[in-house]
Amino acid sequence: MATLDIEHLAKRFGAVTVIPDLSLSVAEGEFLVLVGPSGCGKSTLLRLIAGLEQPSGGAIRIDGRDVTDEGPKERGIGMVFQSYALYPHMNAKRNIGFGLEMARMAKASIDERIANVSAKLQLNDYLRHKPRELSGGQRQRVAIGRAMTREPKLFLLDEPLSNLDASLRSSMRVEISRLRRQVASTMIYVTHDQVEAMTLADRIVVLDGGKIAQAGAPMDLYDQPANRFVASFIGSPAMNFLTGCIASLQDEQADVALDAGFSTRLKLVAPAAQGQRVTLGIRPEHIAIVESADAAQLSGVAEVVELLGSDTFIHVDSAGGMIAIRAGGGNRPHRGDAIHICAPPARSYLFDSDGARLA
Amino acid sequence: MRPRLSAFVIHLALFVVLAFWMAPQVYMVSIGLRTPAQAFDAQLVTWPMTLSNFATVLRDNPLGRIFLNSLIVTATTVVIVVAAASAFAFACSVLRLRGTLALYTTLLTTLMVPIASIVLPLAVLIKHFGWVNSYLGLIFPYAALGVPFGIVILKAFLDDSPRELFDAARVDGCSAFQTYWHIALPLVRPALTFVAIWQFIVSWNEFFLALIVLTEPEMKTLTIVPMQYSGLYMANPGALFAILTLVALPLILLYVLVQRAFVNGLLSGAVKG
Repeated sequence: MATLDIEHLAKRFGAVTVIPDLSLSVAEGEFLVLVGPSGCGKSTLLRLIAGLEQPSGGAIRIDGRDVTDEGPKERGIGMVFQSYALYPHMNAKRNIGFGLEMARMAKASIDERIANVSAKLQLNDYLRHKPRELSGGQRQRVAIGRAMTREPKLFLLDEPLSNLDASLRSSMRVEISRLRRQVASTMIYVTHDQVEAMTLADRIVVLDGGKIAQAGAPMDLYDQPANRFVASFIGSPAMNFLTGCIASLQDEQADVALDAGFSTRLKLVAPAAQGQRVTLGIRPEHIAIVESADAAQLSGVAEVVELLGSDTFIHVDSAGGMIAIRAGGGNRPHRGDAIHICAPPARSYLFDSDGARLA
Repeated sequence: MRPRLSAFVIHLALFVVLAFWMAPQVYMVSIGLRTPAQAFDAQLVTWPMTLSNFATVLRDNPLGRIFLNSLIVTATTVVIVVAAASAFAFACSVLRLRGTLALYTTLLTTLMVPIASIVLPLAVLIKHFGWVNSYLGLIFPYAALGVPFGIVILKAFLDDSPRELFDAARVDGCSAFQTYWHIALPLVRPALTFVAIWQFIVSWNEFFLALIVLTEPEMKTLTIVPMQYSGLYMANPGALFAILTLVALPLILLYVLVQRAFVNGLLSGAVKG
C-alpha cells in the first residue's frame, strides 16, 4: 500500500489546459474515486498518476518519493483500462503474467502468482482462452488479474465497468468491492457513474474543468454538496433547481421567493443579500407529494411516469419547469394527473448565481 | 432456388472475368510447350505439346544458381523492408518520436518516383560503392524503394490499433523495443504478411536495375534470363516463354499458399476490426 501526494499538478495539451492546478493527497489503503462529467480531466489525472502522460507542472509523490519524471514501470502501479487493453494475441494466462515476464521473474514464481490470482478471480477455466473467446466480464477479470499479479502499491482503474451491460456492471461492482479487501493496495478509481462512486469509495473527488469541485466521503457529498455542480452531479435522478430571489433576511435565515410562485425559509450557511438572485435545489427523493392543492407549495401535471417497481419517477410539468420526483413504488399516478408537491426546507439547498452554496 | 440461380450467375460472371484475366498466363505456358513451328499460332492451346523448350533453358542456364541469386536478393530485401518499415512505423505511430512525421511525409514522396528516373544516379552510386555484380547492389536499392510503401501500410495499421494496448505494455514494464516486439508486431501481423508478399513479388520481378547491376552470368537473377531468347536478329519464343513460366512459377505457388493472408492484409487496413 502506498500514499499518493499530488502537488500543484498541471497538464496542458497545446493551448488546451486540462488540469490547471490540482493538489490532492491519498492515504495508504484508501479507495479514492474520481468522478466528473466527460472532459473534466479525470482520466488525464489518472494517466498522469500512472506516468502515461508527462505533467506540464507540479509534482507527484508515491510513498513520499518524487516520481514525476519516472515512467510507469518505476512507479509500482497496476492499471485496469477502460477497454481492458488485453493483448489479443496472448491467452488469458500470458496476459495475466506478462508484466512478470517483462520483469524477468522466474517461471515457477510467475505460474504461482497466476494461479493465485486466477483462483481469486475465478479464472482457472479460462486461462488458455484468447481475449476474443472471453465474455465481457471474464475479460474484465483478466484485466484486473493482470494488474493484481504485479502486486502494485497503487492500483489505478479507469472506468473499468463502463463497457459492461447493466446487470454485469452491478455484479462486477460487488466483485471489485470484494477484491478491494483482498488487494493490499491504495486504489484510485475513475468513473462518471455516480452509483459506482457512491458504493465503492472511501472518498470521492468530484472534478469540474480539471479542478476539484469537492472531495469527501460519499454521504458528505450527498448531504452537504459544496456547490451547485456537485449537488447536480451526485444523486440520481439529478437534483431539481428552481430560480428565485431572497425576499428578506432575518437571524441567518432567508425567505426565498421563488419564480414558481411560492416561498420558503432556509437557514443560511454563507452570507447573502436581500434581492440576490438564487437557485433552490431539492432532490427528487426529498420532494413530498401531498393530497390537496391547498397544502401544496407547487402543483403541476404528471408528464412522464416511470414505474421501476421499487420506485416511481414522476416528471411533473409545473410553473417552475420540469420537476423530477422519486416516490415509492406503490405510488402510481397516470400521465396527466394533477400532482401537488412540497419541498421541505430542511432538505433543500440554496445556491447563488455562481453556484456557491448559501443554505 | 433463386439464391442458387444468383450464385450460379455470379460464379459464371467471375469465371468469365477469370478466363479473360488468365488468358495471357495460359498463352505463356502454352507457347512454352510448343515446337518452333507452332510458336506464332494464334490458338490458345496447340498440339502436340513438347517439353523441349524447358529442356533448352535448363541446359543453357545454371538455373539452380540463378534461382538462388533471385531468392537471396528477394528474401534479404523482404527481411530488411519488413524490419525497417515496421520499426519506423512504430516510432512514428506509437512512440511519436519528434521528426518522424516529417520524415514520413518526405518518404511518401519517393513513392511517386518511377524507378527508371533514378536508375542512372543509382548506377553511379552502386559503382561508387563497388556493388556492381554484388547482391548488395540490388538489395539496398530494392529495400530503399520498398520501405516507404511498407511504412504507409504498417503505419495505417498501427494508427488503427488501440493505443491503450501500448499504454498497458508500458504499465507492464515494457521498454520501447519490447513493446514493438511483443505487442506491435503481433498486432500488425496481417499487414506484415501483406508487405512481405508484396515486396517479394516486386523484388522477384524487378528487371531494369538487375539488368544494369548484374553483368556476370553467375550473378544474374531470374528476370534477366529471358533476355537472351529475345534478340534483335534472333528469337526463340518457345524458350522465352518457358523461362518466363519458370520465373512466374514460384510467385504463383507463393500466392496460392498465402493468398488468404494476402487478402486479409489488403482488407484489414480498410475495415477496422
